Amino acid sequence: MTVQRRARVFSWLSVVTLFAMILAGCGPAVAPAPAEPAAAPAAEEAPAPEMSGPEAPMLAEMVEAGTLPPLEERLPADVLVLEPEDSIGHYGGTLRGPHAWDVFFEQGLLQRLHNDRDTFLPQVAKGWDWADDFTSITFHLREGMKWSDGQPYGADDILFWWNDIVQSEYNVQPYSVSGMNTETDTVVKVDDTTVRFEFAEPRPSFLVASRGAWSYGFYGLPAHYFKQFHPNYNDTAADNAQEEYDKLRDVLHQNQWIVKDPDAPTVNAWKSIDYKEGQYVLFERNPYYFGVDPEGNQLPYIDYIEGLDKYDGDAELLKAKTLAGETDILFRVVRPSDFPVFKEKEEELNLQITFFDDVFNGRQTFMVNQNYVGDAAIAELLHTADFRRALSLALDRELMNESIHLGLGRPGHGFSPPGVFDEAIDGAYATRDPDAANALLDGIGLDQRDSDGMRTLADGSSLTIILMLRSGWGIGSDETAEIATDNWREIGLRVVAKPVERKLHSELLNANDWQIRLNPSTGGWTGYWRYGMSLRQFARGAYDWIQSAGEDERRGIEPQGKLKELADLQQLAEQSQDKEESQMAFHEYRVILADQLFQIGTVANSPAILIINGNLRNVPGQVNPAAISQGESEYLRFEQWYYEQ
Amino acid sequence: MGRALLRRSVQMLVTLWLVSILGFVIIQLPPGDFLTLLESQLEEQRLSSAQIESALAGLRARYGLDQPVYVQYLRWISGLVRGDLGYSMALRADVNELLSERLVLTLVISFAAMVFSLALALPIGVYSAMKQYSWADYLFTVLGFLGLALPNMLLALILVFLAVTVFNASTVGGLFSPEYITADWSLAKVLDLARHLWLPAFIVGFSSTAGTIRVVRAQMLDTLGEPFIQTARMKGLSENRVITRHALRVALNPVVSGLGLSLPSLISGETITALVLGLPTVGPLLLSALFAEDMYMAGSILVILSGALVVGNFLADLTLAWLDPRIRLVEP
Repeated sequence: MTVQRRARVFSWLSVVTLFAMILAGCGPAVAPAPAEPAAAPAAEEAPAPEMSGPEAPMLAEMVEAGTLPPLEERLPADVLVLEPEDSIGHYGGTLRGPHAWDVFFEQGLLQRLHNDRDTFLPQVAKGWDWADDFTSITFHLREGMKWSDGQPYGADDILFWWNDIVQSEYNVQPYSVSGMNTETDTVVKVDDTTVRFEFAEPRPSFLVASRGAWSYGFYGLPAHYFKQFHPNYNDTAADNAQEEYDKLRDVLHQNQWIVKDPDAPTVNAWKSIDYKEGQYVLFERNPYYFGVDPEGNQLPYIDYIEGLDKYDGDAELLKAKTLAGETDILFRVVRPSDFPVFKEKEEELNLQITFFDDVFNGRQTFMVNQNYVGDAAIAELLHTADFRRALSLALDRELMNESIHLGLGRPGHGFSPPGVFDEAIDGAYATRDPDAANALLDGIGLDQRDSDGMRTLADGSSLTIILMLRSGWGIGSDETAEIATDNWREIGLRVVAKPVERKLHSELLNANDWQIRLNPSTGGWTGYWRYGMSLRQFARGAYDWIQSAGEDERRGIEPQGKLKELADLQQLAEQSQDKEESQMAFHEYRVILADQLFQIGTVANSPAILIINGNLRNVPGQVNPAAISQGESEYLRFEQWYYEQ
Repeated sequence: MGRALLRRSVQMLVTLWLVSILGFVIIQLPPGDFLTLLESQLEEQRLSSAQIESALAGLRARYGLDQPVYVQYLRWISGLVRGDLGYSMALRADVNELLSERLVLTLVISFAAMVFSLALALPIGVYSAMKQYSWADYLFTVLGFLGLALPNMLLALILVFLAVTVFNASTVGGLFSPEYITADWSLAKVLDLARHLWLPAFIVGFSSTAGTIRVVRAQMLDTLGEPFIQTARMKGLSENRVITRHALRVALNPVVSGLGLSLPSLISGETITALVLGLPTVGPLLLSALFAEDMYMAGSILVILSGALVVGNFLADLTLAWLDPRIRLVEP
């Protein structure tokens, strides 16, 4: 296995350096090319007449005027060659309207996840080597790479992030880094372009775990810029040092400086040049961006990105803005029920409507609490598999699919990966059958009814179950709750939907003081556990127990029975150094979940919808199938988008 | 008069002080505090409980959340009287910085809405009174009540939808065109603001128009029957003069004293409208601060808005005194 792994790493590096040449030769297991190799544009193909590459006209003018060094001095020795989604593009134009935060969300990671959601492609790092036992990973940076202000980028920037921020003595709040333990792990500079992350224990899932939004400090911070705000590098009086550092921490919080501080350099394809709190941000191309297309044209193609800041403007307004032709891209807020409105305007506004497999395969999902701390009789019911199966069998998923998703989805749990529907797993107890549900309930001692015809507990006391939900959280939460409570009344179960506000919701979650709740999605993606099907969603006590394994005093409740099996499988899947074994564990986990129904899904395979200006090209999903998330822009690859002229 | 003004000023300060206490306490009434949400976020990042605990402890100390409520209050209010509105825990920025321009825009919208509402309600009210029970009277009454009955946010959504689908508008929402958002203030920027201002002003003002129409109408009907109006007519004054100089001036009293009271509804109407239309005003900040229990920011906004109301009321009283000699403030 180790040999295979090494071979894979080696191939990875070759891919980077010889990307264009060996594209056809590299095995699919290594780096599946986004396009058919044969379809890759050949170098002798005449470039489009408008194209004045290898750099954008606006940059060429600056070079001409002497205000910018020539392209070869700006690019690193090892450029990142991005194979276009579809075709080589033209320079120019402004992309109007994505949320500003989406633009940098996918940017700047040392590595980035490929559209198959399974392999990783190089980004800021040109490649990496794993230690045999997964206790360290060495990233190789690009020789001669620069920040957007022309200052050199290198290992010292990552070390500044690690030593002076993550490990800073001034941190009142520990700096959390996804995929790492900041107390036991370290980051070491090998040389100017090589950095090694050393772990206290094997972390085979480090790349997966670190690629999320929380990890975007990974590629380092512009040390030459931020040192001026850091007490370690200033003659700040001791009593002001803490305050100075707190301010810096706030600026760095969730990397908002990339949007909010037009003075700070970045390594992203665009950099913020104008910003108004809460309202507006304007990005301009980074003249030092390290990516090129296979013909050597520097990316990005699009000159400017004009965006909204995050919290002004609600979903309906964003849709109206698209209908008014004010924006070029809309996703996340688009619901299946909006589809007809946009379809009607498709030609008039030159829109392009693309369906994707959603990364979170399942939509609204009922979580059944296995660690409920309230009424023992109800807790007992929630622990009973036949009770959960009856809940599932009673649901009218066809109605949910039709009324909420316009029939675009498929009735089922959505435990499988995006775009997949496994009848045995996603279809388990998912076909409406009230008779079978009634029989199951009768079989577990709920065969007595009160004067309203509702089932009572075995001792004759009345039974009411509370369904907790956050109104408007995810697509169709309120409608799903309404249909479900109706369905459950038909089998004699009195379930009351109780909408709670966000903070109360998280308090009740923390306290395990809820019975059944509605969650906007299931997992479904191999390896992506953060929102997914983790025990945390339905057995918080068991989850805490696993998490606190290394602590002096264990928290939570020791998992038993099927929960124990799931816990072991989750651990195996996350920590196994063998990919096959890990995948098998995930599969087994799903099989148990489908049988036990600690989660009850409603509609699967409902697509994520992306609406864009019809002139945009190289958008994932236009030519090759792709999966994105309704809520994230990670896979959109804005830097290779271009406007067809 | 001087002493009366002084007394009113002291009353205003006391009112504001009470508002600050009430606001601060009410914001903290729901269970948990700002850190509760943060805690669940940190848990999602899979931090160990020891790490989470030390994170929360650090922030608690930094924001003073470990202190008793009255200490937190004193900390905040002592900054407030010095003009320091505190620090937004959720947005991680100084509240002064976040609020400055938004506050001005909020007042601009509220003021524009008030002017719009009056400009519409006064003539209609007078007209309805003079042509009582005519079809026009009924029409305006229906329109007015429609405005009263339609929630602001629904009206905003309907108008946005109509603008896009029927009138093919090329821009919706916001208060500025993109090129002016970050620009410095200039005549062009003010004109651009004016171009965007009418929609929110209409939406916010429309709902209070109905009430004002009814008040003006009823007052006018009352006044028109008074003997002094007949006297004026007998003196041979033109009907216009009778209406504007004699009748309307008296009929305006309740409208003016109601203005001070209508400010709260204008400002809360503005909050909802701002959310729907994406306006850079105080409203969206206030709402998110309340949800997050970001109490320094929420408290500061509440006190500032209350200050605007109290001052507005005061101005309304002054106007009233100027308008009607009968109710000039008298020495007690």
